[in-house]
Amino acid sequence: MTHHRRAVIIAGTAALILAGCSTGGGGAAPPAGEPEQDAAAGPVQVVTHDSFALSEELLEAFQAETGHELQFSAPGDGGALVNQLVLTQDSPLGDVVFGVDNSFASRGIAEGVFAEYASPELPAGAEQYLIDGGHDLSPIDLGDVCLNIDTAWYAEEGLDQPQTLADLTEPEYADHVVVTNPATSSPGLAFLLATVAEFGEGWTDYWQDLVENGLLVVDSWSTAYSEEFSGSVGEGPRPIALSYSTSPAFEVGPDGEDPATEAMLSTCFRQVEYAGVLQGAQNPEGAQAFIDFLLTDAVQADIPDQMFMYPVNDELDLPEEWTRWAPLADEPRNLDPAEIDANRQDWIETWTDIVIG
Amino acid sequence: MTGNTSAAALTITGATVTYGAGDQRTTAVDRVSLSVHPGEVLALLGPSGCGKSSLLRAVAGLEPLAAGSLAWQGEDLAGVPVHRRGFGLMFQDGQLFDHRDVAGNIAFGLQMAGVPRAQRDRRVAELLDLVGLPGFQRRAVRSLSGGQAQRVSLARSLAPEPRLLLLDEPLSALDRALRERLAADLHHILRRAGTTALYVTHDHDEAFTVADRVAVMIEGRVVQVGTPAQLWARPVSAEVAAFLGYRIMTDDDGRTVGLSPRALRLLGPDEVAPAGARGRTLRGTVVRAGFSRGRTTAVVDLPGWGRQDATATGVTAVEPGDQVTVQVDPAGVVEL
Amino acid sequence: MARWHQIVAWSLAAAVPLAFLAVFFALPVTALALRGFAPEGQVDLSGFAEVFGRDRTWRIVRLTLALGLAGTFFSVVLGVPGAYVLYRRTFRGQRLLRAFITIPFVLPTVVVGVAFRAVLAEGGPLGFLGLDRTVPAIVLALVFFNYAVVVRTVGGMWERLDPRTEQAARALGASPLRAFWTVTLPALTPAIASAAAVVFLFCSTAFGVVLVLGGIEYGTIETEIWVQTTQFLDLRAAAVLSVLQLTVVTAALAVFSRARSRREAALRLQGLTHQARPLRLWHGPGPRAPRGRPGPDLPATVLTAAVILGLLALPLATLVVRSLRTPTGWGLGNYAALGTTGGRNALTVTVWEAAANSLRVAVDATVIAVVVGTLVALVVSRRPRNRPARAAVSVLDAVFMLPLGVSAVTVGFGFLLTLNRPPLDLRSSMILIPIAQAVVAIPMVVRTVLPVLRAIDPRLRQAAAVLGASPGRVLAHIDGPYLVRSMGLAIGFAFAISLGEFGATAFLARPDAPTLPVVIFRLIGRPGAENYGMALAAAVVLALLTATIMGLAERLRSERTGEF
Repeated sequence: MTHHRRAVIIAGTAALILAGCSTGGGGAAPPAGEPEQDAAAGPVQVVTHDSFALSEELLEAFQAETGHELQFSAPGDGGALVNQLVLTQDSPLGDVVFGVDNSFASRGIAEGVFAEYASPELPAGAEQYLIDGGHDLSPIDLGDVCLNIDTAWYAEEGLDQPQTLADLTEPEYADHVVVTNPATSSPGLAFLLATVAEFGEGWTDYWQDLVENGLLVVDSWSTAYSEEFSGSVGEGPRPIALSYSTSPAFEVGPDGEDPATEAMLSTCFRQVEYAGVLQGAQNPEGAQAFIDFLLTDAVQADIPDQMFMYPVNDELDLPEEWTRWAPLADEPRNLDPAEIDANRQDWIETWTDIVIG
Repeated sequence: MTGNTSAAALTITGATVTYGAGDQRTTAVDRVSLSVHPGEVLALLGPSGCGKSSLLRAVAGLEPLAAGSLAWQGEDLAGVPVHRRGFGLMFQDGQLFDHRDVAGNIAFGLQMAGVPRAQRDRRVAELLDLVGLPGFQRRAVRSLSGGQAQRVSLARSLAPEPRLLLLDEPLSALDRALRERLAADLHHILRRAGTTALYVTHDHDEAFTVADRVAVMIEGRVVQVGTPAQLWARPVSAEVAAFLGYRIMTDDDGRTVGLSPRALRLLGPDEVAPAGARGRTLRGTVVRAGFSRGRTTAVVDLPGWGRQDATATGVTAVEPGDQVTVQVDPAGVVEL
Repeated sequence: MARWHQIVAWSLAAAVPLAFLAVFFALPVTALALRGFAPEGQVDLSGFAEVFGRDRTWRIVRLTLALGLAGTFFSVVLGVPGAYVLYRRTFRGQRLLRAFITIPFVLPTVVVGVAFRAVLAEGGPLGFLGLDRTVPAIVLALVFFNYAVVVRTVGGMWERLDPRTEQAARALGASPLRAFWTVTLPALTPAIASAAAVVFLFCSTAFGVVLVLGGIEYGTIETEIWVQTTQFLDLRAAAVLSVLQLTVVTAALAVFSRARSRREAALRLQGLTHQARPLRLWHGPGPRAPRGRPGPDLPATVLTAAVILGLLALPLATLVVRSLRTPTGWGLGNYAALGTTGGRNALTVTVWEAAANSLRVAVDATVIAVVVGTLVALVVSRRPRNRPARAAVSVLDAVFMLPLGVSAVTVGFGFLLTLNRPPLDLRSSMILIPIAQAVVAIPMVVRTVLPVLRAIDPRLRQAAAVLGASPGRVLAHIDGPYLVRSMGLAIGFAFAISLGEFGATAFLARPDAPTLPVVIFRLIGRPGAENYGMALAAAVVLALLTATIMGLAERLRSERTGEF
């Protein structure tokens, strides 16, 4: 019977495929560098967001030196990450978390998700970022969320560039701005916080004015920056888009020409990313070692290239293009993390009522 | 009616099949008792919807019995699942497996019984010879004509040498000529194979051709069982007679009789009743004249008998309005 | 007649998939809902009053239903003629086209968003329509995604339908349209209802496409659950919304399953070899019309060509064109970059490594989905005699559709709550990704296999049983070959779904072993023209990969049927 033979062939092929290509059969990448298995040093489970990246050599060196094998999971970013940690307190997702930012940090602290750890590696200049001076979380890196402006566009139109947040409600800048939704995008939330920091109670009126002046709100950073923004790949219609202070560095021409965009440093909100040992961790020593590792000069110097953030250690040399085209704001907008946590949902819902209706 | 139970192969006792539940409940087979003897072909004859197929399916084990019992050589079949009964079943539309070729279909039952391959192949060839399709082994079933498909289906049913073969209107989807020829073939094939069979049909000619005995089923009940000759000679009721092809009428004596299709012989104008012929003659007026199978036929208005069909022995020139003589063949008349 | 060991066997066949569904779907979702309704062990249902008291909730419900119905309606109306042209007729390049239409189904929404916006936005080829950020744009995208579901499901049934019933109707004086309407359409109803059910679920739970194409004012239940869960951790509101979503989905399923079962009799299915006829676009030239009159297939062909070119090919072509645009001009630079980790190390692995991860995960997911889905289809295709068993079978059928109607966020967060202790401490295990994808793929497998199994004439099984085949062997020898025929398509769909799955995968993927859609999402989320270009190139690779897989599935299928 031919179909018997064929069935055998198919089954055989299937078995081969399964043996060769399956997550069970060699799919899970072995830990880099095959560290010496030290009986005392167990694996460290790192919970992070999907932007986490460090040079392979550094990760290998950590595993070789400490004997802690690193395992990563990335269940989400921004609010989702912290909310997952809160949800799983009884049975934590790992030993250490990296990537909690200042807009959600207080929630985790209030829920008791983190175990205190004061890392001896914390640079003196970074202490300003400790939340309420406590050691639930250690600051690792930071960045500014700012409006980016297409300077070439304004030059071409012969129009003065807006200088401040308040300028954006002027009629000559009607239909110029695209930002993202704070309910779905973390830069969007940061920008909402910047306006709260700038205008206090008046932030709702400000957004009302922005909407009347033709504000466009999209769901994600990539739609805003890569599609709607005139100064990047999408060559869209809007000359001002919400992005990061580092974004202009990516608009350097192929032959090193100056970028035609810059960050509006008066509109920035400072995001700080933290790492923390999780309460109930199976390997607290490993978790602490990993936080120390993140604060070493080598890793701190690796952060700009790998994660596009500034290290909290401000004494290190930055890549040249960063100092030229991606400066941090001198006076970024900021809010107390506790205040953010107390009002976040309320602000977003109010914002939704004003902007979306 | 169950007759000699000890000698029977299949014994059906008070079998009842119902469908639906509650108000929807209908009784398809109503307390039927029958027996089929070894090597015998028993036809279940009845109009469509009389429950004959339901009874057949119950025997196969495809329908549960609501009451009554089935036994094979005295052994109750209640706990025996379909595939262990060792019965064959042939459907009206063949139900060949179209993912297998002709040989694959015929060999299926043998394969299920674990018959070795070489033996299977031999048996397939044997059966193809038996049903008149030698060399058809590798043909795709879809390429077969209706008659060929039914022959293959028959071969498939016979291959495992079933203790009992159940045939569910196996010829009714075919055209008349083919049906008649296949009915005759079936008769010979079943005899030659010595098969015990239960044969469901609504065609009395087919039943009489194929079967040794015929059970007439009407509205879920078996009303008469007998050999074709017995049935033909003495239908138990007008209903049965009508179903067998008798025309029911009241004659000039006020009796209800059944007239067989050939009971009235049309005599030509210069023809006289053959010498020694029994039965009476009648005079009547031709209403309509026609021709069928080499004979002249006519509808004749006979006083006291009404309008009846009469057939000549050959060709006779009659026209509407002619006065003709009709001879009544007593063998073609049954009193009811 | 049903003997005890048969009952045991069928119960087992039902129990395995049910256990799978319980552990990897029902428990996680229930656990999360319980957190919402009874955070301290006390049941608190005040969330219902609160959520239903908001105007926004009702607006969201209305839009969700409208999008679901509109997306389903247009997918079916356009998809049925497509099924006719692509499956009932033959022409050169048909197989290629069949594979092609499946590409949209598996593209990550981010990519589709980019491609659609490029077409519809001001300055795009269809910018003059003014559809950018409107409800029609979302509906178009929903049809773009789901067209293949209708075409393939309906086409798979149609190509096996005995053409003689339609021919009989034609001979009795019915016009082609009338014969279609009165004979063919009713016969296709099970397949159409089946496809419509799936499409409705996809449309009413669409997430990314609504956000990307509609802009933010178009919130649906799905997007609202996402916000309430991930951003606010307002599990009470999320649970209420989930119940709402489940209600909508269950009601829709009930409607579709009614439509299906009313029509689902034993159809006369045929093999493939003899029915498909060449397309007849024109009648031959005659005295009245020297160049020939329009043939019977012309309208359906024109419509299908318009859909495939305008709705499917245009955005994909735009995608390809844009993938060829590099910072230094036109060229293959973005494709060359797929072997790197992106501009300024946007990625932890190269795109090719991610593609390999995707394939591995997809193999596992496909195996799980096909095994579980086939078991479900086999159980559900039975027609037990007694009423409770029949009811159980149809419940089982519906239950396995539910994963399509529940938010990936709910499942993802639920996993974190329930799969956290041995023996099921799988939260950081790679195997969780294929499992999550399989949960989504199983309904597609069931829907692909089930109509074919259900259409087997029960008398075929009876014929085999009478010939001495035990129930197990009837399954192997009668259901088996039919199963194998539909298996190619089922495998293809499962594989394609796994390749393109993003919602659940994003929660579970490990940063060091991302899948292709995750990598595309990541690249598109990084500044820099080279990353954007790479993302588009990677999307093209994903599309090609999908087309290849579906093409192979198509081959597997017709090879299998070739011998019948």
